[in-house]
Order: sequence, then C-alpha cells, then structure tokens
Amino acid sequence: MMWFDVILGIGLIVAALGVFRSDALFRSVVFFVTFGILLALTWLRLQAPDLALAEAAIGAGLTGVLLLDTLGVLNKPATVKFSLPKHLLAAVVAVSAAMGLAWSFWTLLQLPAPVYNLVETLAANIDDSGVSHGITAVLLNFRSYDTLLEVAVLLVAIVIGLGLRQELRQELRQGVRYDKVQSNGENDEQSASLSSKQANAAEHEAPALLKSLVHVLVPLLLITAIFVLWAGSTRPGGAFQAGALIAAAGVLARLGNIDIASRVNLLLRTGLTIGVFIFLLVAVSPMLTGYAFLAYPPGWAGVLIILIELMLTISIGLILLSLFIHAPREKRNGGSS
Amino acid sequence: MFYLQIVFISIGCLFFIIGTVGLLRFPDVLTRIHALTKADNLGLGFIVVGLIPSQTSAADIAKLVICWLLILAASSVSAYLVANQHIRQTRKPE
Repeated sequence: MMWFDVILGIGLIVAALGVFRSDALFRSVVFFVTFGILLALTWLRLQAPDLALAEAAIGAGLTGVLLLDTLGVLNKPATVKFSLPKHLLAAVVAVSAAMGLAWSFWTLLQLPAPVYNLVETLAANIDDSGVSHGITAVLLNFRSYDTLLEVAVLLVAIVIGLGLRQELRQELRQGVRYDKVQSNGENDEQSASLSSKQANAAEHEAPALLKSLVHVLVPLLLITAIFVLWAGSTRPGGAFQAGALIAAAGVLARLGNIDIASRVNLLLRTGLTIGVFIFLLVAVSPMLTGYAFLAYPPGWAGVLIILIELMLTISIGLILLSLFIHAPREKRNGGSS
Repeated sequence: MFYLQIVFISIGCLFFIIGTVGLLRFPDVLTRIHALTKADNLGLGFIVVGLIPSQTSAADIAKLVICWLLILAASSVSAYLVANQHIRQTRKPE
C-alpha cells in the first residue's frame, strides 16, 4: 500500500499545481475537482472516513458544481493573464504563509509530548455522550459549541448570498422574476404563479434522458441522505454529509429543470434557519432548569442529538442548494424567457 | 476462484487503459466519448464481477452491483448530454 500512498501524494501535488498553472479556468476547475477526489481518498487512507465523505460531497462535488456554474455565467473568455504585480503579491503571500507554517511546525516539534491523550479521553467518556460514534460525539456533544458556530457561519453566508442576489437582479432586471415575491409582499400570488409558469415552461427544455435520470436519482439520493444521517450516531456519517447529499439531489433536480426551490420561497427560508434555531433552542432551554449552556439533560442526549442533526441536515442541505440555485444566472434566465 | 478474479480484474483494467488511450488519441469530442463510456463501463463491469467473490454478505454484493448500475446510468446520460451540446454548438454557425 505504500506505493499507492506515494502515488496518491504525488497526484495531490500535481492536481494542486494543475489548478494554479492552467491557462483556462475550465481546466483549473476540472483539476480542482480531481484534487478533491484525491483528497477524499487521502482521508480514507488516513482512516478518517467522516472527512472523506464530507470532502467528496462538499469539497469536490458541490464546490465543483458551483465553480462550473460560475464559469457558465461568466461571459468573458475565461483565461488568466499574467500580470507582474499580482503574481508578485501572490508570491509574497505564499512565501510568508509557507514560512509561518514551517515556524509553527518547528515550535510544535519543540513542545513536550501532550499530557492529555484525546483519543483515550474520548473513549473513556463516549458512553455519556448519547451516541456510539466518536466523531458525532465530539461534534454534537463534547464540542457542540464549535458545530453551532459553524452552522451559524453557513447561515450568515447564505443570508449574504441571498442579499447579493437581490442587488444583482435589480441591476439586471429585465422582467418580472420570482425575486418580486420578497421585494413586495402584495404581489405574492401573482408573481408566484408567474414564476411557476416560467418554471413549467423551462421544464420542457430539459432533455428527456436527463429528466428520467433525475427522476431515478433524486429519490435515491434522498434515501441515501436519510441513511447517512441515521448512520451518523453509530458509524461515519452525520448532518453535514447528509445535507450535502440533499443539496446534490436539489442541484440535480435543478439541472433537470425541475425547479422546486424557487416555488416555495417562505418554506425555503424557514428551512434555511430551522437548524440554527432548533440548535439554539436545545442549547438554551437547559439553562432554565439550572444546567449549563449546551449541556444536555441526563438521559436526553441521544434523542436531542438526533433531533439537532435532523434539523441541521435540512438546513445545511437547503443552504448549500440555495448557494447554487440563487446564484445570479442572467445568461440562462435571459435565454429561457 | 482467486485466479479467476485476477483474470476478471485484469481484463477490467485493460478496458480502462484502452478507454484512456482512446481519450488521448481520438481526434474529436464524439469519438472520445465513445471510447470513454463504452470501454470504461465495460471495464468497471469486469472489475465488479471480479470483486464479487471476495464479498462475504449478499448486501455487499448488491452494493457493488448497484454502484455499477448507477455509474452506467449516470455516464450514459452525461455522455449523451455532452454529445448533444457538442452537436448543438457545432451546428450553430451554419
């Protein structure tokens, strides 16, 4: 297996170089996706299947789709031109980052061996956590504060994304779009029916073969997402991976021109926030009876973790999907209407 | 059985190599898709067949076969989409 690891390592470096050394942006994106898949394999070889799942689904899959989609919207010929000041700046940043890394690595080597053995501490306490899979126990019990902040960051990202969308749309407004639904409340029904009409018209454009594949794959993806979520309490899996699968199902449906997300605006917004909302609710409510912030009442940990993970899955899935769906795509919309 | 597995997986790898050579050597999009989808899916099928005897449970065998079927469906549809788009783009100037 050692040669496999060596080849994998070399492949990672080559793919990373390919991302930066390619002249055409499209080629960079393809290298980026390749890099993500190789990285997922690397995590597998390092026996971190949770990370491998997340990297394959989010790092390679969804980010790749987002980048490709962005390329499709860019009208300019997508090539990188050489400019000396930019490259000089990048070189300075890269060299100082490398020196910082080397310095911190060096100081790490100088430190005495850690007194705490985190793996043993985790193994000793896992029975109190409510789940039997170590990663989930850390993410949602021992270090749930970090997870809460992570999801909050995702929520902020999508709020900013939606805000940007509106601004861009207003600049490029050519006719009635479904963003009217939120800009003026009175026209809700009218423009909602209009947008669904547009969506219906668009659905006829998708190639029949793609549509039938989407019809098969979307339910399969949703079932897999539920399985991955459920598996999270006993083996690798969990909210982030399951959320990524839900987002992938949504992206596929969108590519097949089945436009679910823009028809249910209010529901979508509820879904975006429900993960953080329920997480905060569960975090705060024990304080009423004298427990600490984020402390699960004894005996309830398992149930509450599943509840939080379920809500997080919905939110993460919708957030990742919304980043894709609500990205400004004047090119495609302009063509269809 | 072990040697049979080796034979099947080797044939599978050979098909992958042939497909990759085709991808590199063929002149245009359509022939390249032809090389990739046909050779690789057949190669993957051979590898799956070669791996089945080492599985201990029926569920694992089913997972392998499902993987192959899903990849078959996905790659045939994506090949069709790429070819379709290619034909559309090349037709436009006329």
